Amino acid sequence: MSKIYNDSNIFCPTSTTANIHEASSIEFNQIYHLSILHYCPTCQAPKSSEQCSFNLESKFCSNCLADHTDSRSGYCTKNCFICPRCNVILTITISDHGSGKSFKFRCPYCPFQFQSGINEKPKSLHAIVKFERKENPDLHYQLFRTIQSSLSERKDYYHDKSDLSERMEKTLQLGSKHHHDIEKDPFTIDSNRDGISDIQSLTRNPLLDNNSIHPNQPYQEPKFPIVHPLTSKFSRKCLACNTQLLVPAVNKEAPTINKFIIKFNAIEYMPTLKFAPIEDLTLQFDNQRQLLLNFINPLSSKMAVTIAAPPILSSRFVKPSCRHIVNVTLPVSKFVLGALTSKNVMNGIPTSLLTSETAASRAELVRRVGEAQYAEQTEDLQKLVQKGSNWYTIPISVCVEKNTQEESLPLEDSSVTYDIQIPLYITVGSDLPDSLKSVSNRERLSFGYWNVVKLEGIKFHG
Amino acid sequence: MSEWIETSAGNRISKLAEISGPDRIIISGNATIHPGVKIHGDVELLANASNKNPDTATTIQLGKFCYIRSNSQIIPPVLKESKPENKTWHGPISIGAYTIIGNNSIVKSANIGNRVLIEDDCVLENLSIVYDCCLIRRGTVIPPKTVIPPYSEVSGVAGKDFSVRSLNNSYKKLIELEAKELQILGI
Repeated sequence: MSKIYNDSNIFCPTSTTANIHEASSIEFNQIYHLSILHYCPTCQAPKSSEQCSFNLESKFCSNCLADHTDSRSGYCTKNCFICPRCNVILTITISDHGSGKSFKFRCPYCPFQFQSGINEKPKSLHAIVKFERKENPDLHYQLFRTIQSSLSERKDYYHDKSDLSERMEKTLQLGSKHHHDIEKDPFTIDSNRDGISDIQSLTRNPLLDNNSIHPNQPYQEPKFPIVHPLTSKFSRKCLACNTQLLVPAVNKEAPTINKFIIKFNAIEYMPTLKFAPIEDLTLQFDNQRQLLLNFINPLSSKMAVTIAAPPILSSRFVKPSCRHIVNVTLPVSKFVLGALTSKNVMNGIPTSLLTSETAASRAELVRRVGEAQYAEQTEDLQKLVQKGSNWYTIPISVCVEKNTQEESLPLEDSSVTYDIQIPLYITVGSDLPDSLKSVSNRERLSFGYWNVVKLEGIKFHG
Repeated sequence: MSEWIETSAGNRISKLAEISGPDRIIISGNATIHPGVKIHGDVELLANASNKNPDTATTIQLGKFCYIRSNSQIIPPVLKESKPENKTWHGPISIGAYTIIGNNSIVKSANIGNRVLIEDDCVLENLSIVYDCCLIRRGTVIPPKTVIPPYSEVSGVAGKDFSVRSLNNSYKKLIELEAKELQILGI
């Protein structure tokens, strides 16, 4: 059983126009693991980082723990430097030469070293490194200065429009064109051939090819230490309703404090899904294979769950694509998850995930199996499912059928392994948790979402 | 005969684990130490080098619900080396509660916080510091003296693809629950 490595992969659509009840609306680049999602109490939906706005709350250096919130810099302005080769914090030693002092920066991981000149006046290490870099620039800094100066020259050049070619002038005008003008003048390939050729030639520009910047000079290792980047704490808001989803506690004296004033995490409001261990990853053709899927309720109130899946999986859910048809059947589509009332971790572990490795787990497994055998089973459905305090295990049947009609795809090799993604539409209904009562304007917790469970390394055989 | 020693504090220690200097190691309780784990508690501390009785101070401290998987090593960080004598002086290492160390990992850090998940085949080099609620991905090499801020996801090898990213705060609860469940399930 793992709360971290589970099968809860949630589709969080950024588009509001698509019909999210259709499996065809699922986009694979918008599927996120449950553990990284927030939960918006107003929208009653999981929110990915793409659906949130960010606000910087504090900045600090993780090396010297100095607070830099009021600084505009993104780097530590104290004496923290990192190795340009391997990003390791550099060790700094000081040598007194009588007339002045010099500093040696040494990487504890790689052979990188930097020795500063003798400084007669007191200066910050940043100023020393900056001065030495200016006096004795390496190739990287030279290139940076060249680009910087050429860009500033170009800026002056554009003021004199008489030298501009007609095409360049058109490109510059396009940058300042108003939005409604662009709508009036729709983009057509024929009328913009010149612009397209500009972009194509840009990708072939030798200046952008790193190897050809200095063709006659060998690659030079960077010579100067780099300033240490800061670590930042962000607050997050829902982009749709502006509800605060995460606000970290900021303490300038103890920047590494890991407390939060507001936090709405999806794992605290949405059920976790986890397959029972699958021993044999081979699916026989035209044979139904039953897998056990566990649902775990994180709430302290009961949760009514309905679950649905497309009966035939679209080809895009099987990778690499194959000519066969994958059917999914759910014998149980509606059930009630018990509330998380006990603090005993053992009670929250589904029976299918218990092991015989420890005495405690073995004893619990024996107890549950014994109880199940003597329990009264009034309905056939109860024979199919297992349930506990806050978890429910349902079977899910997967069947692969040979498709002899589809000729466009190649014949499968029996050694090929497939990754099957099964989209499950889950609706959840529950009493509103106490933590949401002060922020939510709804009376109940009710939402629906797509959860994509993955079966990896599956072989077809038959 | 059982291959595990189970103590009254809930610790579960494999008989095949190599624990040297056990009187200098503190285990808070409910910890699991798998076969092949090497815990080097019998090192000489630099702070006690001048003491008459240097071999009494604690070198390794493990928090509650620590879970150390097979073939991993815990070595107190080296503070000073004497090359002609081939002798090393170490500092103490503290590993926080609910910390999971994966298979074949080597830990030479000065401090590892609470709720840290170290996946398999990682190397935490000498005197590195990992704050609370961090996730160290499989095969990561954390260079010496590197400080990993709280709520970070670390991956890659220094000099190649080493990266430190922000980690969602829900991992605080997840790693704690994972450590508790692993202690029960023993997998």
